[in-house]
Amino acid sequence: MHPMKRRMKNWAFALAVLALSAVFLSPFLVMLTTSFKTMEDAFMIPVKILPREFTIKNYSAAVNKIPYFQYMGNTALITVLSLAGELLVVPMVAYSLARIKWKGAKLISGLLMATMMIPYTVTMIPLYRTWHALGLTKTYVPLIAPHFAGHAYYIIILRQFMAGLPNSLFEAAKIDGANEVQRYLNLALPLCKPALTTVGIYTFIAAWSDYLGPLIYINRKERMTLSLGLQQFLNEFTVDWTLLMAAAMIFVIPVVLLFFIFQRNFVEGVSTAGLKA
Amino acid sequence: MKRHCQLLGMGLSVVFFAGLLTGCGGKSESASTASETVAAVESQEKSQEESRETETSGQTAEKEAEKVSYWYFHKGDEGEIMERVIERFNASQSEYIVEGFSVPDKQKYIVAMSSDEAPDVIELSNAEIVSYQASGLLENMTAMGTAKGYDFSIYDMPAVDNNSVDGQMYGFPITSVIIQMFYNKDLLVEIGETEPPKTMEELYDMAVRATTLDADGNIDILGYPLFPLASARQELIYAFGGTWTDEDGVTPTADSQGVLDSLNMNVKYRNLYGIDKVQKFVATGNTNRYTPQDIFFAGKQLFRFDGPWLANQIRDNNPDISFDVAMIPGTEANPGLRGVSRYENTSLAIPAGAKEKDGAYAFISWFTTEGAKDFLLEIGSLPANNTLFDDPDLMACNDVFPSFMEALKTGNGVAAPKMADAAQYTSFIEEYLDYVYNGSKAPEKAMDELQKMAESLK
Amino acid sequence: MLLSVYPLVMSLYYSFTEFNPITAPRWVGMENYKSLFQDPRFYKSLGNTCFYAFVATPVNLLTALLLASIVSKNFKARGMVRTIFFLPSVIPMVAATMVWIWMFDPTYGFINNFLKLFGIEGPAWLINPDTTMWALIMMGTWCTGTTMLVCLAALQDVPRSYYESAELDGANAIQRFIFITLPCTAHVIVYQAILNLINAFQYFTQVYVITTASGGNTSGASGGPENSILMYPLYLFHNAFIYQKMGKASAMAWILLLMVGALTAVMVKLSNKAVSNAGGE
Repeated sequence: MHPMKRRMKNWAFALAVLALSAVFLSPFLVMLTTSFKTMEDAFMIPVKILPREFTIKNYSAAVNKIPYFQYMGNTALITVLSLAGELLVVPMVAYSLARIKWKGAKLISGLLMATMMIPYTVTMIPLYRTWHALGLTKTYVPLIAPHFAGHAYYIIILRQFMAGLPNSLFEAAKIDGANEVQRYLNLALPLCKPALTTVGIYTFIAAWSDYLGPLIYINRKERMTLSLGLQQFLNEFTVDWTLLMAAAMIFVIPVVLLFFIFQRNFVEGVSTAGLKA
Repeated sequence: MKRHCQLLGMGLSVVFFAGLLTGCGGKSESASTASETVAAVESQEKSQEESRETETSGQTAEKEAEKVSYWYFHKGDEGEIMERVIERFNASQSEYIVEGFSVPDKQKYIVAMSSDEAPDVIELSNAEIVSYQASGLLENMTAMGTAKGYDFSIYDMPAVDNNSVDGQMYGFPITSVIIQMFYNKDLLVEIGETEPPKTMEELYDMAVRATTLDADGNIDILGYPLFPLASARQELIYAFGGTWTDEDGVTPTADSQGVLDSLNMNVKYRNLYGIDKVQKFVATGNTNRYTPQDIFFAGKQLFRFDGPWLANQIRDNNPDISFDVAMIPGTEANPGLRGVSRYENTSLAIPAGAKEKDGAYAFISWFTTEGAKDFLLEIGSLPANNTLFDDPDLMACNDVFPSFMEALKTGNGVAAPKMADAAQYTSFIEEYLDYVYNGSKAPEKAMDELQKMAESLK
Repeated sequence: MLLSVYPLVMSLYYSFTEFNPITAPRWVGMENYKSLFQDPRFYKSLGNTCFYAFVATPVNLLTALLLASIVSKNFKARGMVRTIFFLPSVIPMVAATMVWIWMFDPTYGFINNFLKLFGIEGPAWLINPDTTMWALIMMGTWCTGTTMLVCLAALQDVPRSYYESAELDGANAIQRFIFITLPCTAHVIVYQAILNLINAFQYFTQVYVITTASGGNTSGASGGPENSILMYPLYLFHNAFIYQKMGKASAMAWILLLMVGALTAVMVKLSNKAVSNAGGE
């Protein structure tokens, strides 16, 4: 291509990226700047983007109003265990559904999808009764254990990725004498790294910000999670906007950092690199 | 070879399902972590109990105190006030130890009740008392109180009525909510008035004169009390003699003349300035309610139908504003309606499945009598207990309490609908008022439809 | 599976009963279904949810694909841009929705102030029943980061050599997108569309926060102005936990399951055909 034309194109691309970034960043920026504002500033007319008087009082108040670090610890414990569960089980099930032909695979896929179509509102009580019968309602088990069953949504996403892997690679591995487990561990898993990362990030966010689960199953202050703690900033009559934004910011930062680190995994898959040749 | 694959696939799935069947306890990993978690939590609990016991050991020497669990919906600072009430109760006697927990969503109440894990005491609104008891979820407090010699005379009729189903109380109220008319004195002076209006006709006239627009036709000062939304749905209707049900609380009267009069005046005002402009102003009013820029605090609202908490909010946010409180007006035809308002309670109830009912009763009976005053002083609410209606300390805790107490004593608050499907009716009312406010249906048509909907309810 | 199938079956049973948390369910036959089919709100909420699902799903998916194709390119600050696009999805829904209530405020809100720059006077987004649904769709588009991730992962699987040879043949960006990107990612994207549609029918938390945080509703069962955002799962929730009609709620859940199930089955059939056709070319 013409170097001139290419440069023009790059500029246009950069501009488009910049504009889109601005759009997607704006609510976050609103949140960030509001969290540093005083209440008076937040409601100034005309609206100013930057705080007139920069205050970190909201942050100290947010951390002091609830036992922030204790809740964060609880949330982290639940999240890490949930993540372990999903990452262990989801690819296994997805692999068996996608790459191994067996009777009932279709039925199972159908059932999996059905479980996603029924609102939690009506399964909440039967589910709670089950955990009650097992004597586990006052523990974290009901929050973590379901992740060791794999979430239908993730299983189906991953199943589609595994189904899309080139057959030739698996045939070749089979000829080389690799058994099913080896093919799963050495071929399918590494090839699905971007998809696995997606599932990991999904799980992390879902567990990190889950509200209903902890609401229903946690009965003690010391065991509450951050998302429950965040509720303490929503009063009956008033919304302490600046405090809420600060609390939400602290809630979000670990997730953002984690995402920034793991997004590197979204590189061109080995499968495609292999096909190039 | 193919057969082999199939088997393996099934095998994998069998492992997977086995895990699920045992509720995943089968997976050693999750089982061990779970039990660790449980153990950690238990040890935490133990150490807390120990510390609590040492605190009160002087009193609990002979017998171990029974635990009473109490779930309340107050959050944040108000939750802490609730915790202090609990501390005071625990210190006041040695038989029971109440453990409080802030529950931000009441679906947790229902889910816990469904599995026999109900707490011993729950905090509910009076409307919820009625709706919960419609399903038989609560303990009969009249029976319990009578057996234990509770002094029911501390409640006036509206308070008893609000918390009763079929003549039996299912909750004891701890606070009352009524609404009065706040007004901005400066704005009133600007339109040449000195006295607040005594009838809605006068109020409308003043409202129109006080309403101002900016260059774009946007409302700058709102005269008519269209905000807060809940008051527009209630007090503004009641002031015209409209109510949503008959005195029995069960027969809907949505198409009554009072309701229509109220809505017609409301619509007249909206049309004067444009429905969109009014809605826009109200939307912003809603976003910044009780903040420094609240439309009333910022001097952009002449009349405001609101509760006593508004005075505290004004004090906290903008002490400069010059305001006063008066009774909500009646109408020219019916001036006796003055001071009419909703009457609501926050109440304490015992779930039917509670384990420690005696302890629950002990706590509730203490809270509604001895414990009531300190709680009300801290949280800044009006009492339900009539022995506190003249309490000097309470009167002093909020500038507007004297006039609110005065209104409270008249006992002419309007109770919410009490039919079994009351919650559904209330949400119908909200929907149909929206149609009227947004101009998509004329008041007569909307209320006629609403009445038909309401009549189909139980 | 017991954990998910048992409640499923129980809810089917409850849907034929008058169900109350503390007493045993009482069999009422088709009563719950009958009362639903006579309930105008049932239809209203179903209409709202269908509208949301069929508008928001394609919009989100296209946005996600666009974003993903941008951040799959190799450029400086790519990680940063990926994070920015994904950022809205990491904010917990309750907090994010509160931010949006703030953004949609007609006076202070970012959106109307932004429109003002172009001389447009924005509506009272969350109060005007004509705009509430569009406000939700905007919110949804903003949170499309999770779908973007799947698209991104799928795009990584498209061999770069295809693009290179297409470029040599003179195909422009749009042609490359249609003839290479779409067919090569179809097996994932189509399923993502189906999953998103299923999720759209479960759309609940955001409307729940908006309707409860808006204040002024005394019933605790608001569906937004004129019930314009009374979504099916929200109405179901009202029935279950506010009107204390768990049986009716269970019946609603099963009607939803059957409808979405049928829809999904049709889409899966169609997409399998489409994908295999695309693969055959």
